[in-house]
Parts: sequence; structure tokens; C-alpha cells
Amino acid sequence: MIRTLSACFYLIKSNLVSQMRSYSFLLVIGISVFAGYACVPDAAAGYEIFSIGGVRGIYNSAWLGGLAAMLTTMLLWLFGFFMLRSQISGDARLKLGPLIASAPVRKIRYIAGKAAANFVVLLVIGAVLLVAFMAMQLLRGEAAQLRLMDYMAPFFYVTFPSLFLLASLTVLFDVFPGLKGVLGNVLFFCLWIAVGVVSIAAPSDWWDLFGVSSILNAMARSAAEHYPALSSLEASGSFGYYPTEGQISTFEWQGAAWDHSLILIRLVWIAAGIGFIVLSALLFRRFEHPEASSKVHPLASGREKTSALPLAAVEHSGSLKLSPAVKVKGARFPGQVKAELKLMLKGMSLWWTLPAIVLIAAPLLVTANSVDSLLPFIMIWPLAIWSQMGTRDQHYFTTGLILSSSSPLAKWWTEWLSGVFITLLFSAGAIIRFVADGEMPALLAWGTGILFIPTLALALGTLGGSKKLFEVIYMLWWYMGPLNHVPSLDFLGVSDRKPALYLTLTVFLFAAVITVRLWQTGNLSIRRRSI
Amino acid sequence: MELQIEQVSKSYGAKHALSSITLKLKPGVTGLLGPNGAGKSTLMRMLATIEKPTQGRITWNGVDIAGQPQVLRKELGYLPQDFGVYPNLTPLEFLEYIAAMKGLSARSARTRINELLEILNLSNDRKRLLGGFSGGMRQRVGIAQSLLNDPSLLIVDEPTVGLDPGERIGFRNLLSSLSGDRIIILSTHIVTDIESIAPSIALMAKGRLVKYAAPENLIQSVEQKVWNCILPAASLPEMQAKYTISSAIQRSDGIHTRIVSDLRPSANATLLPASLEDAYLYTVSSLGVQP
Repeated sequence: MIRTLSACFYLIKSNLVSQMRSYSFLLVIGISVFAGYACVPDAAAGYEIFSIGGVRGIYNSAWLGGLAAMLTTMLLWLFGFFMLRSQISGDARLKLGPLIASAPVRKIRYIAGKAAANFVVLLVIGAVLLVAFMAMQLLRGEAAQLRLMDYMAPFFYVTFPSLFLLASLTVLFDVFPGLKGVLGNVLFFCLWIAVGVVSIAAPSDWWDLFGVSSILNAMARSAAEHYPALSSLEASGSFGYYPTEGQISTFEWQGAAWDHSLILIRLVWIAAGIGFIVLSALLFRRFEHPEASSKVHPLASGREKTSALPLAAVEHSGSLKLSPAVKVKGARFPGQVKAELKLMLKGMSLWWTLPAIVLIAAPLLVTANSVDSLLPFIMIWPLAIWSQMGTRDQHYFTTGLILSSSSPLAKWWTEWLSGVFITLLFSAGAIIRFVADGEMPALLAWGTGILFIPTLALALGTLGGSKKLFEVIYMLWWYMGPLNHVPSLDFLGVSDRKPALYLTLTVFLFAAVITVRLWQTGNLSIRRRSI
Repeated sequence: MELQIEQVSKSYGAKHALSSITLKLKPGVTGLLGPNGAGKSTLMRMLATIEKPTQGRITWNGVDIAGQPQVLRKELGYLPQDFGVYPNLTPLEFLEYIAAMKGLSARSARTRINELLEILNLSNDRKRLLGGFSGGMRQRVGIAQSLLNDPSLLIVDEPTVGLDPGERIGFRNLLSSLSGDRIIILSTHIVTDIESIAPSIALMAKGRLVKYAAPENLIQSVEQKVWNCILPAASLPEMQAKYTISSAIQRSDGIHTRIVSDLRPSANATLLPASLEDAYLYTVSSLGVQP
């Protein structure tokens, strides 16, 4: 028993240490600390992040503890998932698979170890945010007494079980067939939206996975007691950026009444999490080699399996003569872009291609009333193509081969042009429709989007080194802007045409990434450094 | 055709990976030999224009490649020690992609790819996805990509890793047949790979160039210093602590040890003809480096 616990401890510890030394973890910690500062503005700061009908609670331990619990679950369910969702496939990518597979560790212990490590990482981030809120309570000085229980109760009742469930989902999505890649990311994003909506409008605590509703309702009830005019706005507290004039009205909230019946509900969540971990262990194939060795390209003519021949140990008589290698006359870009496009589109299944064709043609087939609803969906389908931009060589360890063959900036341009071409291709139907309808402002806004999306993808890929960063930011942006028409976030101009803003942003991103690329290649710094 | 390395140093923060390397290379195979951590791969990455020297310069036909890397890239073939491939491409598609990056015309690239796949015995597997290739087969694809543009400078870093003994001989023969009119730099820690094809050897240790000489000169430097001793098993650890032992073979009469030493290690020791491996071990261990 002790030996088992000790093995589990070291498994969790190694996963945890490796995660905590990553840049993404440090970034999330930095964001948490900043969030702690930004989400607790001074009464005269001129803005609020969370208010109930224009009032808020004084910054006492109960109010800030509740706020921290809500923010932790809502944000970590998105960003924490994307940060931690590839721990198992990461082991395979780093060629640790055979080492783990040949070790005596059982599947359930390995998977549970991964889930536990992810859970601890999430708890650490949650704890950092909590400490940041405590510090802000003391800094703002609206309530002097720091009551630890007021911070710990929502952490215990809400954050802890919710993050456990999330940790189990990070491993499930990493082993469930088909969910490892972009499809899983999109599905989880949809799940996050759905859970968010259900949590806020939860008819009972059973469905309040983010723990928002139990806290929010208690806050709103208290606000209505202090300000009867708000009684019609029960449960209308919301997060966002709300400019305020003068000092905001406040009230004292003593915290939610944490009913022990909640424990049962949270135990069910934990049981569900354990169920997901067990399911993940059952699905986990212990890094078994896929049957790729016998795979023949579907378009290949000879599909019979052949055994690999060794390199013959024959003496080549004299100097080996091969056909001359003829360089392209003139610009190399067309050939490079063509090759890049082939690579980008390679591996896309028929089930991806057919809907893509339908989406491209759809703007020509629907009525004028439906076209605006359709347009955003065209620009989510190529997500898997865009998210590879700037990350592919790092992911597949081909950087050395590529950088010795082509200039890094030329490669960057090639990828950007290919990304723009793909986006243009997907926009073909929409563009024809805009021209036919004489919608020049819409065409201009959409055209800006065509430049903006691949630039954003390449920028985040180059800076972050992982496709997940673009996927999560783009999906969030796309959901709020083109789909839900949040002002200024609609980069496609479906509802809010601001081509100047997005053109400026494109140019800025472009310049920033070119600068970073030049710095990375040692052409901007006085000190030369590696690429 | 000339590659000149002039006083090249490379540091990563406070860590010095290379110190003042100077070397002039002409057509033919140059073997780069050294223990792990000697700085071979760092030097190769700089020669392959992937990294830039902290100090000194590398010139290709008189042009500084830090300032104008493209001049060398056009004539460069590089096989890194660790490299990946795009798993959802076939070798044919992968090589077409690399050929495009190297700026080769599609038609000439296709012909050359077919020839290379034939030579490297990959023709039958040309339409299989790279994701299912064995390590040795991937290594051969790597070799093929390095030869795509008929490079004047071919840099191969541990190229025989993953190849079986027969394939290693095949690769060495291939390299020999290519060496006539180009500079080939072959880095390895397998002495026999270098011995059979490299007429000159650069020996590196602790980020420095220790020796640059022909194999026979290196061997000559340890003539009369290689001894055969038959030892009882119990005394082996003591001898290992005192001398550089290049091999130890268990026999019925004791352990036959091959010792490289200036002095006769024991009264019954007999002289043996020196090999390149002995010379390598002697030189490296005399610098206090574990070979």
C-alpha cells in the first residue's frame, strides 16, 4: 500500500514539476495574478468587472471568495483545459511512450496519475488567484478582517469538485478516439459554452457545474434586500467590463449559506470524474503503435503491403551519378506556396472536405435573410488548417531540415500566403455573394478578416509554439464576435463593420511577428543567437 | 570550393559550447569525432546556417554565412542528428516538399527523388505514410532529402543511427561514392564509420578542436602504446582506474584487455598494432574527458 502511494506520489510529482516549469503554466499564473488585481478595482477606478444591477458587495472575504471561485471555475474550464489536455499525447510525441509502456505501471495508475497531476496544477492556479484576491482585499481596505473560511468555503464547495471533474476530462479528451486533435478542442469549447449557460440558468444545484448559480443567486438576493429596486433583477449579476461614473454603490454580503446537501451533489461530480478516469484507462492503449506501418496512402495505385527492404551494402562503382538538380528560374515563392498548400490540406478526410465544399458554396444558395447567420460558420471550419501555422515544424521536429533548406523569413511568408489563400478559398462563395449584392462595405470588412485570421494564426503559432493557443483564442473571439456580435470583436464584419480596426491589428501583428522572427534568427540583436 | 571556420566560438548564456575552432575544409570526407558533449552538433548546426557563431566567422567560398546564409543554403545538404518527418505524408510527398523549400524545379526534383528512393531502397515504400516507417527507413528518407539539391556541402550528423550493420556499410559506400567533388562532413561517435571513408579527421573534445589529421597520422601517434594484458577478473577495476582500456574480452585464461598507455602496464603485457579507436581514446582521455 505504502509502495503504491509512494509510486503515485512520484508519478504526480514528476508530472507536476514538468508542468510547473513550462512557460504556459507561468503565463497562466501571471494572468491569474493580473486577474486578481484587475477584477478588484478601486471604488473610484471608473469600471467594474462584476456587478449586480450597478451595485456590488464591499470587498470583504465573502464577496471576494465567491468572486474568486466563480472566476476560477469559469476561466480554468477553458484555459486550464487547453493548457493540460495533451499530457498523454505529449508523452507519445516526446517518445516517452515505449519507456512508459514497458514499465510495470498499470494503465489506471498512469492515467490517474496524469489526472491527479492536472488536478493539482489546476488547484495551484486556483490557489494563486485566491491569494491574489486576499491581497487585494487588504490593499483595497473596504473590509479589514480577512476571514479564511469565507475564502475556503466556496473553494471547497465549488472550485475543488469542479476542477476535479475538469482534470478527468483533460485525460478523457486525450485518449478518447478522435478527440485528441482539433475536433476535441471544438467539442470541448462547445461543452464549455453549454456548461456556462446551464450553470448560470441552472434550475438546481445539480447542473451548476461552474458553481456560479449558487453564489450568484445568493449575491443577487442580498443585493435586492439592500436595494429593493433590484428585486426584479434577481440573479442578474454578470461579468464584463462596465464603465462607471463616480463611486459605485455597495452593500455588505455575508456569503452564501453553504448547505451540506451540496456535498452530495459535489460527490456525484467527483464520482463522475472518477468514472471518466476509469473510462480513460480502459480506452488508453498504452502507446500501442498504430497500424500505420501497413498504411498505404489512399490515393496510391499499388496498395498491396510490401516488406521494407534494407539499404543494400553494395559498392557503388566510382562516383555516383544522379540527374542534375535544376533550380527554379525566377521566383521560388509559387512552388513553395504550392508545396505548403499541399502540406496544409494533406490528411483532411472526405468528411472534412465535403462539408467544406458545402460551406464554400452555401452563401450562393441561401436567402438574403439567412446569409448573415451562415457567414460565421464558414470561418470556423478551417480551424485545423490555420492552427498548424507556425507550429508544424516544432511539433514534428522538422525545424532543422526546414531551416537548412530555406530562409526562415521566406518560410514565414510562404506559410502566411498559403494561409491567406486557404481563407480566400473558403470565402469564395461569400465574396461572390457580396459582389452580386453590391455589398462593398461587407466585402471590405470580410477581406480584412481574410488577412487577419491567418496573421493571427501565424503570430500565435510563432509566439506560442503550440496550436492550442490559437485554437482557444480564435474560438473565443469567433464566438463572441462574428457569432454573438459583441461590438468591436467581429473581425469578419458580419454585424459590426470595422475594417480599419482589424486592418490595423493585422498590420500590428504582422510587424510584431516579423520583428520576433528577425530576433529569433539573430538578425535584430547585437548578440547573435540561435534560431 | 572551400569552407573555412575561423576562430568560431559559441556560447549559450554562461555556457561555452565551442571555443575558437579554426578549420579549413576542401572537397572530400572529413570525419568529426568526439565524445558526447564535445560540441560536434553545435558546430554542425552553425555550418548548416541554423545557428550563428557568438564569435568568429564561417565562410563558404569567401562569403560569411552568418550575413548571407542563403549563399550556402543553395548548396547545402544537411541531415541532423534528431529530425522528424510529417507522418501523414508519403516519402515521395515529403521529398517533394523539401525540394520546393530548396527551390528545385518540380520536374527535376521528381526525377531526382525517384533516383534517390531507388538508391536508398525505398521505391517499394514510396506510397506508404511516413508515420509507419521504422527508424532506419526514416533515416534513409533523411539521407535522401539531404542529397536532393546535389549539395556541394553535405553535413551528416550521426547518420548511421538506426541503421543495421549491413545498412551502415551501404551508407558508407554511398557516402564514398558521393565524395569526389563535394565537401562532406560526417559526425559520429562510431570510429569504424569514419575510419573506412574519411581521409581526414577532426577530433573534438570539451568544445575545442583537439586534432585535425589523417587517420594514419593519428594511429601513428599511439604506435608502441597499445598493449595486450591478460588479467584476472578481480584486478580489472584497478587497471581501469589506472589506464585507458579500449576493450576487455572474457576468455578462459582471464580477461584479455587492450590498454592504451605510454608505459608497459604490466610485465606480461605485449605490444599490439594500434587502431584509430586506440588513438581516439588516448587523445580524449589524455584531456581528462571520459570517452
